[in-house]
Amino acid sequence: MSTRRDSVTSVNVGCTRLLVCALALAALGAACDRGTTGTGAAPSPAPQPAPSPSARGAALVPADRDAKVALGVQYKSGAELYAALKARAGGGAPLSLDDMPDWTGFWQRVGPPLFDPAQKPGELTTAKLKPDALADLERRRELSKQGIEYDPLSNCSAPGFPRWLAIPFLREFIVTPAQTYLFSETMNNLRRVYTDGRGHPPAADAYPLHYGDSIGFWTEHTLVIHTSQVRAGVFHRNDPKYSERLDAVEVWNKLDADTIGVDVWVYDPETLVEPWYVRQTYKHVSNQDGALRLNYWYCGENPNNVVSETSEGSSQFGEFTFTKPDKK
Amino acid sequence: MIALGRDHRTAWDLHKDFEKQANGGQRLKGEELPFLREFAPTPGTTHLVNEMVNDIRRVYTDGRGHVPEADRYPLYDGDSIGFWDGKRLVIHTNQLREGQYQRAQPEYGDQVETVEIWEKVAFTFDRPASPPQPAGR
Repeated sequence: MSTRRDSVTSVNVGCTRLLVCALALAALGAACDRGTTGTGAAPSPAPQPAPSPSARGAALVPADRDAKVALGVQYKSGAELYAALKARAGGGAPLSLDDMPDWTGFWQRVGPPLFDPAQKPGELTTAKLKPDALADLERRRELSKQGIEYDPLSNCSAPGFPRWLAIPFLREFIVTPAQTYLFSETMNNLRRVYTDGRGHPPAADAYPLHYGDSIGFWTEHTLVIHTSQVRAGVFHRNDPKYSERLDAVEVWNKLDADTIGVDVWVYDPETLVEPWYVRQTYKHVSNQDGALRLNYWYCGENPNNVVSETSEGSSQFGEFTFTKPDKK
Repeated sequence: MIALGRDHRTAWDLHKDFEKQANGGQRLKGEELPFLREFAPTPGTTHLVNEMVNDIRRVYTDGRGHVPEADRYPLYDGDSIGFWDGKRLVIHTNQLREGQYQRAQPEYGDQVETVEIWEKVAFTFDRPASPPQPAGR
């Protein structure tokens, strides 16, 4: 007789214990320091607090932005960068139920409605674009100045990845040992990152998807993701377009109790001269009484949302009327 | 054993009865929608994910109650709170929009509320160690 039991995915949260330990060590270090100064004894190196799991994992990539840009340029594709990071992390390690990163709660992105929050006002883009992609962006930006623009979101299409990283509204990060769910309230977008060691689907089974296919690994409390198999799309409303040959690497870290950051390298041989590095930041949303809820987003319930693209690239709203209260 | 529903005026009464008995925190819903599902339990929230139209129910098991009366309005998936009774998840849901249980099935109003009890049942395949031998050999 053979018996198969499916494993139950359950998690335990809380790096609180580690945080307390780190704080205790820090306090201990400070106390030792004061002690040696007060007695006039020979100074000895103060014990340093053990770096947090996030900090240890963050060491996977350089801290400096230019160095991160340079790191991306060393590799021809996101797949290569991902493989290099994985090798550097010794293959990564599965999360332990006894030491789970606490990414619970609601989060909101920080920054303007552009894919790169570091883009300066008036700047066309921080991406290094190939000529056709650059010409397309310049054309669309010019039309936008005239009020002519179309955003696929207007018609309830999925924002897709990588735009998922930059869309507004609430987010949730649901961490389980074998899979992490990255949820965005906008259109109920749910990305799944498989961290159980599986690879991408075989090439014969792969086809373009709104959010692509994401696999990843953990190293300490750092999540590294590789995404490929995306549908062609646009990085943001006033941003460049990308092709379905795009692939990307993300390195996620919780920086402090209120901040989660992600380094992103996007590769697209059709539209980008070199990988586009951006950094996204998400801030924790206070919800002390638990009354704030995430609800189902039904984009089609409002007739304003019936929007189609015209031949000139503008938005055509479906027929609807506003009824005055006295004309009910 | 609680007499399911028979002795309870509302699903909330049933939920509270379970809670009392389990000393901890469920809902029953006649969902028979197709496509894939995922269940992602975490200590404070359990996400019940249905592939169809990216439908995700959140069940808060951190001890919070339903949203205050003044903040309530009908929602597609309602508001769900719950508790764990060992490995059983007990859910209470209210604040639903009116709808239908399933295609060609009855409709319900926005006063509907439900209790569910979720439990993972081990999946077992029984197979003989060796093929049965014909009689007489």
